[in-house]
Formats: sequence, structure tokens, C-alpha cells
Amino acid sequence: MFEEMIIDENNVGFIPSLGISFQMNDTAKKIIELIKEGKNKEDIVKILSDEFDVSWQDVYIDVEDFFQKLKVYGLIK
Amino acid sequence: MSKKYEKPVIIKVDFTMASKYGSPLKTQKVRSEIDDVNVRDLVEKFGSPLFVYSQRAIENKYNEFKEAFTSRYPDTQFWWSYKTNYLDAICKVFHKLGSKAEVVSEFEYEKARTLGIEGKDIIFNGPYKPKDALKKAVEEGAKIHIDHWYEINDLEEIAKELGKEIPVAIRCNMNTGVYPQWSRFGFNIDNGEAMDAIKRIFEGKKLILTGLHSHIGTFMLSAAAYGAEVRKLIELKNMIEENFGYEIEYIDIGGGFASKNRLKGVYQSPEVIVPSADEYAEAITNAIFEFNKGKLPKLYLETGRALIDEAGYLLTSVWAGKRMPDGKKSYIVDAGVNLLYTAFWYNFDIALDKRYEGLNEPSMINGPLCMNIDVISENIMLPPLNRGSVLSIWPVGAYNVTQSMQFIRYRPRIVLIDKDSNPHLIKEADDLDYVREKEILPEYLK
Amino acid sequence: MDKIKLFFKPYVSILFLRDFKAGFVLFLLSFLLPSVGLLGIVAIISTIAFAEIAGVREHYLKYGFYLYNSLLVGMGVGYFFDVSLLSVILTSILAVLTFLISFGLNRMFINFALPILSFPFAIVSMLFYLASLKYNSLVTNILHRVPLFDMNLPFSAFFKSMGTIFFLPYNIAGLIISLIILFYSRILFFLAVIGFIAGVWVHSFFIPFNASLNSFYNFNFILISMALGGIFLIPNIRSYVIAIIAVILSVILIDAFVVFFNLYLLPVYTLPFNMITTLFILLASIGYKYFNYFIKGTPEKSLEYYLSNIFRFGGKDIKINLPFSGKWSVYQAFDDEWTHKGEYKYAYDFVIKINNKTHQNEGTLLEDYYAFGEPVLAPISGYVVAMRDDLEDNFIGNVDRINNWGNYIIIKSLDGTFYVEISHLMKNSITVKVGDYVQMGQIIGKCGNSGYSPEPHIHIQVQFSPVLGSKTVPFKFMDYIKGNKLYYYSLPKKDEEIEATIVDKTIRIRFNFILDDSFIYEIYENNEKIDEIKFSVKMNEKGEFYFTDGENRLYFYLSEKMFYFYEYDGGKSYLKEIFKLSPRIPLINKNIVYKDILPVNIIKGFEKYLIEFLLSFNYNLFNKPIEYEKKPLEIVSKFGKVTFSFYEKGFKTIEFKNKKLILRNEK
Repeated sequence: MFEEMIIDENNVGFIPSLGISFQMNDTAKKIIELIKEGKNKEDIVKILSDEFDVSWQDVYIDVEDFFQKLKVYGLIK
Repeated sequence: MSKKYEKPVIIKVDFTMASKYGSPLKTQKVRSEIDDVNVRDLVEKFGSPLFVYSQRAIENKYNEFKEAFTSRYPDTQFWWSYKTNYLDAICKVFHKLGSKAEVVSEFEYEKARTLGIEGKDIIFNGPYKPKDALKKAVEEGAKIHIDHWYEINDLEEIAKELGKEIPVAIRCNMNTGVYPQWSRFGFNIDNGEAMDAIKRIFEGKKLILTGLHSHIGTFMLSAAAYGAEVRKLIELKNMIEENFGYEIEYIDIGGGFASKNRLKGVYQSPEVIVPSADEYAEAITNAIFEFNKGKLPKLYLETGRALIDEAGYLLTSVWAGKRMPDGKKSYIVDAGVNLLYTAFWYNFDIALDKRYEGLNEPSMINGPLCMNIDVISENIMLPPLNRGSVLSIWPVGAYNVTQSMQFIRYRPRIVLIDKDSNPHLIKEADDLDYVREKEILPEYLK
Repeated sequence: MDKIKLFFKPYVSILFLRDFKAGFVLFLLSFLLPSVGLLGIVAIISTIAFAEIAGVREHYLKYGFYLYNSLLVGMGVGYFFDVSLLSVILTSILAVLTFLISFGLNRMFINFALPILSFPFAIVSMLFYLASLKYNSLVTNILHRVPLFDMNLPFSAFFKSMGTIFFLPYNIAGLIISLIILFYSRILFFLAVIGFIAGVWVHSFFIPFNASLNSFYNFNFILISMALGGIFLIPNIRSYVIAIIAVILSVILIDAFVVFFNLYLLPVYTLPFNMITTLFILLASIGYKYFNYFIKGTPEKSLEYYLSNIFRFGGKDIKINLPFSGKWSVYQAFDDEWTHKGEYKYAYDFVIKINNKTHQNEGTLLEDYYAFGEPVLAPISGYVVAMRDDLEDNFIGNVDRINNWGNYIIIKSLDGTFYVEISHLMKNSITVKVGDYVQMGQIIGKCGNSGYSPEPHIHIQVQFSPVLGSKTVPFKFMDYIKGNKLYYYSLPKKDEEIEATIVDKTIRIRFNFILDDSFIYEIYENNEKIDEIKFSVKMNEKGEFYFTDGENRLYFYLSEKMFYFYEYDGGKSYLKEIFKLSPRIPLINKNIVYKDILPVNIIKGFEKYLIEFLLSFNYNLFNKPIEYEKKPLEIVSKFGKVTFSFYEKGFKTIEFKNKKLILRNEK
């Protein structure tokens, strides 16, 4: 689904075939772009942790939480 | 280095999400200070969870109600209802403001006495008054409000033992047009039971009727109900003075005024449905002027909730967050229904300690207890919170402390912020010794 | 006793005064010419007798003019004819005729709010004169008409004219009448003099001075001047000028009448006075600002009453109460920068501020605003004529420009002369509906944020039409408290924090005096009991209540929020002191300081005679406020102190100088 998703400058992600939109923030947008690039959860955690200089244990919880949300929305399995 | 880290947030946009107050995804309710004291500082100094009372708020409310009543009816006296909050410091604040005491048990009576309140400044209510406590109260000059026929007999025996007549009041109940009617306390006026009780008192020749009391309910949203209550009490007073020659010195209309708490199941906001002090005062004093014959009685009020509820806050810290299978975010905080018994009836106002980055998402707030009912807020829009975020829950000043349970976790500290914004510790947290203090381990189990 | 007063009142009514004692003096004076005196009495007695027979006693008791017209007729007959059986019968007949004409004329004039003055007398006298031409058996006394005594005086022309009013054109008569007028009212005397001078002087432009000075009809100038300058108009410079103008106009009128009537040998009498005065009164009653609607015993009293009304009770301004309770701040006042401009400039906006902010927390939510949800009270008693409360309360940051008044209510005043409109109320919060009666102070809704409202506030304005959006008109607030000061009939300024007053009905009950309530006080001087005195509550014919100690009268009134004294009749007494000690009592349970003004006749001693006269030239002489302090059960001022009890009616103690009155409890 992410291939389809178009994210505009207000961080709203739109999936044309389903006609649904998602409001997200910068970090979420970044993670989705990383997913599109084929990165997995552990990779994403490391990248974020390095970029923002935050401990990977803390980031792990957030990314895990984010993936749960994506599952709820049916965007990933 | 680079930009500040923000937790990732994604929310499906739903155009049917309507709200009275602007965008639900962005509006955050922030309360970073109570009486100019930062909530994080309070938690840092005194621990979490933490009950916080604002003396300024207490005094403002008390003065508001006092003004509303005394400007219309100068001879009004407030009697602080101990069961609403019997912390020594809080009671002292009210007594210093001029309020007397209203108690409903021998324990509360003793507590008031230890605070230095004299018997004559205590109203003793309640259906259960053990005889020796009753006798002591009578000896010390307390105002006894009789609840049932057995109590009349008890008092007459005491009168005989002490060799003197006892001034008393009777509690009445009546139909005030609202549901539920608290009909199991006192004597019913509508079916004549109250009149019978007075006749019994008169014939007993040992008790002198000096007052009439009623307490029609709690969290009353109708000022008119009080008008009806006062009317029936005053009409009863007129009849008594005419038929028995007693001079009814006072009418005690009890308490029950509502606070700006949000009742579960009620859609409208408290500003819309909760009557103001003036509305209650207007209904009550108008009824007195309209129906009273003879000398105007003193007006006693046992207001509790309305005076203290909005002055009390509970600070609680977020410990962890979870994502529920349905997508809702669940936060675990360190205060639960063990401390907020009234959470079963009210949707508290919950505020953040500062503005958070990110969009709100549907969340719920759960307490620390390992019990499924431990839910403080079922459904609330919150931004992503960290461990350590401090939430302030309001209004919790009434009943929560007195009804809190020593269950699973120790009861927390309680702080009172004075009018100069200095926080004072008024109750220490429970500890193991305190909990075990009254336990006795039988020999054979040692 | 009253019957006797009735007898002498007509004499003094001719001079527009009321004290029967002066009437008695004039009665005696009338015997200067015995026939005038006697036939005067005959006229009065005949009229009273007829009125009794006709059964209209009540009417002639209330309205003195029935009798003074008859009296004038009688005196007029006596001036020209000796006393004889014939002249007595004639007088009786004429008196009754005068009475009927007075009655009839009054029924007509009253539709125009005009007094009949002495028209009946003038008409009847003319009729009589015409008839008498045929009565040969009536012999005039013109040859031997001589007063019992007289004297020479300077200004004799003036005195003779004065006397002519009573058919006694003699120096001594004019002197006594002048002294009576001077004694009761300096203003009337002043008017009599300037009227005479102005009339004579202008007349002398057209005829030789001596003829002008000694003209028989100069008394008309005196009467016109007194009537217009002091009685029917409130005395002030403008009224005096109008009076003089009227006098000048009458100069021509008199000469015209004299010439015309002389053709038929008819007397002119007071016809010029009646005509001119009536014309002027007709004009003034329509729009003259100083038209006297409440004619009192003397011009001084009328003036004090008028000034009391303006300086003590806010005059004719529209007055409304604050529509809230507790402390609120003024957000916008009259003619203010945002929305109170042009046709909508007479309006007030109120908010609640705590620590100088109108909201707590960040002010992003409606419930953060202290004013939101607060009860709104009816500012006047009246009827609801329009309302709407279905509009949403806008969230902060949003305003409704289409329905810019928001949820509103319009209330019509009890007397129907104005409407009060309140805006921006909370949705579904209005507790009354169109047609309902509301009592001032009753809760009618809650402060909301509907309409064009950037934040929750109460908007209030007064208009002359019941239509929403009508032009606003100026008004004043009946009372409000700022700090610890109570202000009456004024307007607070922008950003001031004021508090509304609430009626303490328990005090009000104790000032609700009824007829025949009486209070006995023990009087102590320097702590020794010297006397006792009793005050009773009585009511006069007009339904006005007063305290009396038997001689003096202290008039009081109990309004919604105030008990006050407004008039005092009499001399030095304890009642007068009570007026000084508590001219008004605010019926509110708060410690406050307020100002009131005492009428000149209350506070001044002998100099009051001069000041009352000068008052007509400068109204500000009246405006001398005195400060009073109200504490829970007492009122304190520089004059002393009064206290009231919690359970009994009236005043408990009255203290001033070294005296103290204590209410004696009746068991």
C-alpha cells in the first residue's frame, strides 16, 4: 500500500485507490519512506536513533507502537 | 545536531469527527501550574501520585457561596461537612473561614473535637449514633438531628440520666420533585410522619424542638428542588409554631450543591447545567421569604462538595504506554480507582503538564491496579506521552480522599498550597508499618 | 379642626399659598372694608352649604379652587355694595353659580392639564355686573367706601395694587399681604415686585408714567409673575424671564380689554391674568423642561422637590440595574473603541477578571473563561417581548457575524417607555419565554459566547423599540459598588471593576412600615433621660406615607432596594434629625460608603431663607453631597448615628450631638 501512498507537504498521506487519508508527523513520514525503501524494523530503529541522537531502547518502543498502529489500519500485515 | 526527535504519529483522517471546540487533533488541555506552582516541581518534591489542594480556591469558593447567601439572608451559617473531606488541615481552613462542623459518626465527632471545635459548634447527623457517643455529644452541647423513632427514645433516656431537657432537631424528607427521593433518612413530611414525631417529642416532655433539618440529595442540578424543600420545611415550621408553641430557631437545609464535575452520561458541559451559588441562594431565600410566618429562622447549610471539589487536584505520572489491539493507546499511570472512587460516576477533567508535540490520538488512562475496572478515563484525545508526563486530574477535592482505599498501593501524600503559593505537606503517604499497625498475628501462626 | 381650616384656606389660595394661618390673617384683613369681609364669608358659607346639599363634599374638600373663586365673587360684591338682605341673597346665589361654573370649567380644562385659576370668578363677576344694570334696588357704596383705617407708605402704588387682589386697594392691606407673601416665600415676593415693575415700566412706554403707575389693573402683573415664575414653572432664571415676558404681553391685553369691556361697563378683573397665564401654561406643559408637575406649598418647596429629584434620585434618566451579581469589569463602555459606536454607542459590555485576566489556563477553551456560564439577572422588572437562545456558543477564535446579537432577550419596562436588550447569552440557557413577567434581579439566563463575541461577555443596552438592532439610548445604572463605595445613578468607566448590589429582604421587611405603626423612644441627653416621644406612621390624601410626632411630618418611601426620606414639613424636631442622619438606607447587607444630599430646608438654620431664594438662580447650590457609611446594623455620618435591630421594625437608636433616642420595647 505504501507504494501508492502520496504524502503532501502538510504530512497528509493519501491512498487514491481506497480514498482514505492519514494525518502524520515528520517522523512518521520518514519511517514510511524507509519502509518504502525496504528497510525493516531494526534498521529503522538504528537509523532514527543515530539521526536524532536518542537511545535505541526508547526509539524501539515508539517504532514498535507505530508498527502496531499500521497493522490496525491495515497498512501492513 | 539535527531536529528534535518527535514520536511518530499517524492518524486516519475522519471528517465526521466533529467537536465543539475546534480541531480535536490539535487541541490540548494544558495545566502546567496549580496556584502558580509548577506541577512537575510538585511531583519532583513530593512524589507521585499526589493530591494537591489550593487554599485560594477553597477561600474563593467559600466566599462566593457566603456572599451569595448572606447578601440575601444575613443570618446564614455554614457547617463544614466532614464526610466530604476530613483532613485536619482542610477542616481547619474552613473553620478559620467561619464555618462550623457537621459530622455523621462518632469518629467524625471526635475528629472535630480534637481540632478544637466545641460541642455547640457541631451538628451531629446520621442514622447510626451509638448511645454513648450520643450521650457525650449531648453533654458537650452538640446539635443532635434525630433520624428515627428509636433515637427519640435513646435521647429521652439520656435526658433522664442527665436530668435536663435536650434541645434537638429532626431530620425530614419530602418529595421535592426530583428523582431519586432520599426517603430513608429522617421522618417524612408528606405523609404526616414528621408531625407525628414532633407530637411524640412534645408529649415526651424531655426534648425541646429547636430546629428542622433535611438533606435532599447529592450533586443536585435543580435549584428549584431546594425551593421545594425549603417551602415544605418552612410550612412545617409554621405549623409547629402554631400548634405546639415551639420556637424553631433554625432550618438546616443540608448540602448537595453540585460542583463543576462532569457526570457520566450527561452530554452538556457543567457550565451549562450546574447552577451557580446565586441560583441556589435565590431559590432557597425566596422560598423562606415567601412562606415564612413569624420570626425568620437562622439558615444552616451543610455544603461540602461545592466548596471543596474544585479546589482539589490529583497529580499522576505516566508510567508506560501500550497500543491496544483496536488501535487505542492505553497509558498506565500511578493513580487509579483506589484513589479516585468517584471515577465510577464522573468523567474528570484531565490536563497535561505542558504542550506536547504531535497530534492527539484516541487514548485511555488506566491505573496501577491489577484490576480490569481500574479505568480513569475510557476515551480521551491525548498527544503521545512519555514516561514521567504528569497529568492533573480535576476536580477531585470531594470524597476521593475520604473514600480512597488502602488497596494494592500505599495511599499517597497530600499537599495544600497556601495563599502565597507555598506548598505544605498535610498528610504523609502510608507505609508498611502504618498498614500493619492494627494487625495482630496470633501466637500459633508465628 | 379640619372644618375650620377649610374655611380659611380659600383666602390664602388666592396668593397660591396653603397655610391656613395666613388665611386667618387675610380673613381678618378682609374686614378692612366690612362689606367685603362679610360678603366674603357669606359666599364661602353658601358654597359649602350647597356642596353639602349636592353631596359633593369630598370634591370641595380636595380642591380649594372651588372656594376661592366664590370668595372672590363675594368680596367683589362687597366692594361695590353695602351689606343688606338683598346683597346677601345676591352673594349666595352668585357663590353657588361660581361653584357650578368652577366645577364645569375644571371638567373641561382638566383634559388639557390646565388649572382654572380664577376664570370662574371673572366670568361670574361679569355676568353679575351685566345683570346688576337692571337692579335698581342695589345701591353702590362708591360714595362712602372707606377703609376702617389706612396709612401712608412709600411705594404706595405697589401696595395698593397688592391690596386690589383682595378688593382692598389700600396701603395697609397691601403691606400686610406683601408681608404675608414675603414671610412664606421670598421667591413669590421677588416675583411680585419684578412683575409689578416690569409691567408698569413697559406700560409707561405707551401711556404717561403716572397713569401707568396708578392703573387699577396692575395687580394682574403681580399675579402673572407669581403664577408663572414660581408656581406653575420651576423657579429659575429662565422661568423668571418667561414670567416677565408674560407680564409684558399682558400690558397690551389689559389695555385692549379695558377699552372693549368699558363699552359695556364690564369690569376686567383678573381676566388678563387668567388668559395669559393659561396660554403660557398650555405651552409649557408640552415641552418646557422646567414645567412644575408637582406643585408644593410654596415655590421654595416646589424647587427643593424638583432638585431633590434630580440630585438625589437621578431625575428623568432611564435607570436600570446591573444584569449580574458579584464582581465584573467593564469591557466596553458608552462610545467605545470596538463595537459601541454610532447608533449603538450607548451600551455596556462586562467580563469577569481574576488576576487581571478574563480566563484561566491558556484561554483556548470556553470553560476557561470566568464569565462563561455565569447567571444573567433581569436588569428591570417587566415583560419579555422577544428572545432567542438556539444559537451555538462560538468556540474561541470563531465569531458569528451573521447573527451578531447572538442569543438575546428584550424586556419591556413596566411603564412601557423603554426596552432593555441583553446579548450573547448561552445556548438554551434562557429560563423565561416571551410574555413572561420578570422581576428585577431574577435569573433569566447564562452568559455565553453566541453572536459576534470574541470571548464570553454580557452586552446590555437600552432602546425605545422592541425590535432587535434598534438604536440605543443613554441610560444610567441604578446603583453599583466600586471598592467599598456605593454609587447611585451613574456609569462606571472602562476597565473598572464593579459589584452589583443584592437586596437583603430581611432588612427590607423591617422597613416596611404600615399605617398606624408607632414607635416610642426614650430621650437621653448626656446620658440622663429627659423625655419620651412617639412617632406614628400616617398617610396623607395623596397616599403618601410619613412619620409624625404630632406636629411635623417626615415623608418616606420604600423602593426595591432603598428606603428613603424625601420631604419634611415642619420646624425643628427629632424627625428632622432622623432625616439628616439617614436620608436614605440602602437595603443591602454590605459595609459601604455612599453619598447623599440633604435639602436646604433640612440642614440650614436661618440662612436657609436666603439660600432657598438664591437656589433659583444657581441649582448647584443644592449639590452638596454628604458621606454616609453603612455598617451591618447602623448608619454613621458626620451628624451622628442610627442603628437598627435584627428583629424589630424601624430604628433602634438615634444619636446626634449629645442626645440619644432609644426605642422602648413594647411587651
